[in-house]
Amino acid sequence: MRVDALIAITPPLEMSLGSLMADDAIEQPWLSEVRRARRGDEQAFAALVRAVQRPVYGLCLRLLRTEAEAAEVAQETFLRAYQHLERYDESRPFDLWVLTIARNLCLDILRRRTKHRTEDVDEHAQVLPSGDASAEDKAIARQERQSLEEAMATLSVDDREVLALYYVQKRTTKEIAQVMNVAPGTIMARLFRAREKLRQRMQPPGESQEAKS
Amino acid sequence: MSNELDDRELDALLAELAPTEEERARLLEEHRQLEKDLLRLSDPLPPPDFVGQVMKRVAQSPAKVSKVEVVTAGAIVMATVVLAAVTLAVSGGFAGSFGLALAQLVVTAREALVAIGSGLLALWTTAALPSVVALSMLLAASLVALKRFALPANVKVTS
Repeated sequence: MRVDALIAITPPLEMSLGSLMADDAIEQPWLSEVRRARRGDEQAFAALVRAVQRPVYGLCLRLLRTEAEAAEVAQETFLRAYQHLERYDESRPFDLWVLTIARNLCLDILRRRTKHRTEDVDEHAQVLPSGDASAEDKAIARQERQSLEEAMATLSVDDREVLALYYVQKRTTKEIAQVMNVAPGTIMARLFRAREKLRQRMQPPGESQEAKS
Repeated sequence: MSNELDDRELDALLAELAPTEEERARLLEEHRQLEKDLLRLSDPLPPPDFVGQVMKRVAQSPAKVSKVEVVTAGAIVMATVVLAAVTLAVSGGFAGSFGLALAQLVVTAREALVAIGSGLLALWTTAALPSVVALSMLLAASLVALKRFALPANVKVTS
């Protein structure tokens, strides 16, 4: 079996997600708001914040793992976006630009954190709610979702980031590459590695040792 | 090129993790299942007052100065300075008379200072005591006058 089989996991997902996953169809839904905000219209900027607050806060929370810090950094992200709105390149999606700012701020904080800070998985599991209370979400067992979140929380920042952007935020590999400032071709390998680590963490202890032997 | 590299890397990873066909099939199935679960996750909602907090910080942030505004302001300042320099250079007569008047003022002020100093010295040598008494009385009178001016503010007003 060649690697094509492995890659074949993802194309149907991209197709099923429709325009969200279409690499070439770049839409700029917030352009008029951005232009109005540039002219000093604060209401237009508030509309932009409302539109992209959830992915920005979500990414901050997945990277930083504490609600207070995530909210603070997400606020700082929007403030910086407002102050540097002149620098925003209109050919790029606005949400990706803001996500890039958020990511850089989060990475700065993570770098500053002390090395021996313990990772509290339980805290993270409580912090990250399961999202929408939609019918689809309700169908999933709460316990299952929680264990998935817990396992995700034990991954490295890079792994958490790529999984969150691809699966939670439904970004394309091209968009993820823009946010992470890496070559688009490396995203699939990163995703696979992250998924594999997650799979291993999800396995019961005895089973993972069996698999290794 | 990068996609080829990616493919090779994935191929190597897969070969390392699952050497046999059967193992690969099982691994891929597990990944597929994991993807399904991951896709069901969603981002949490930010705190309810999030937008309000952001807009509060935006309102408090220093006013934005666009590059165009900076360049315009700089150009106006530069133009004013250049215009002033050109005007001064063109009206050479005015510049000359201005310098002359300034020099005369300096000379006159110096002469006036010397004259005042001489007068005070002459007064001190001829009538030092009367001068001191007169100055003391003047000072006392001034203080009394000031006190009288200041008093009404402390007076309690009653109806």
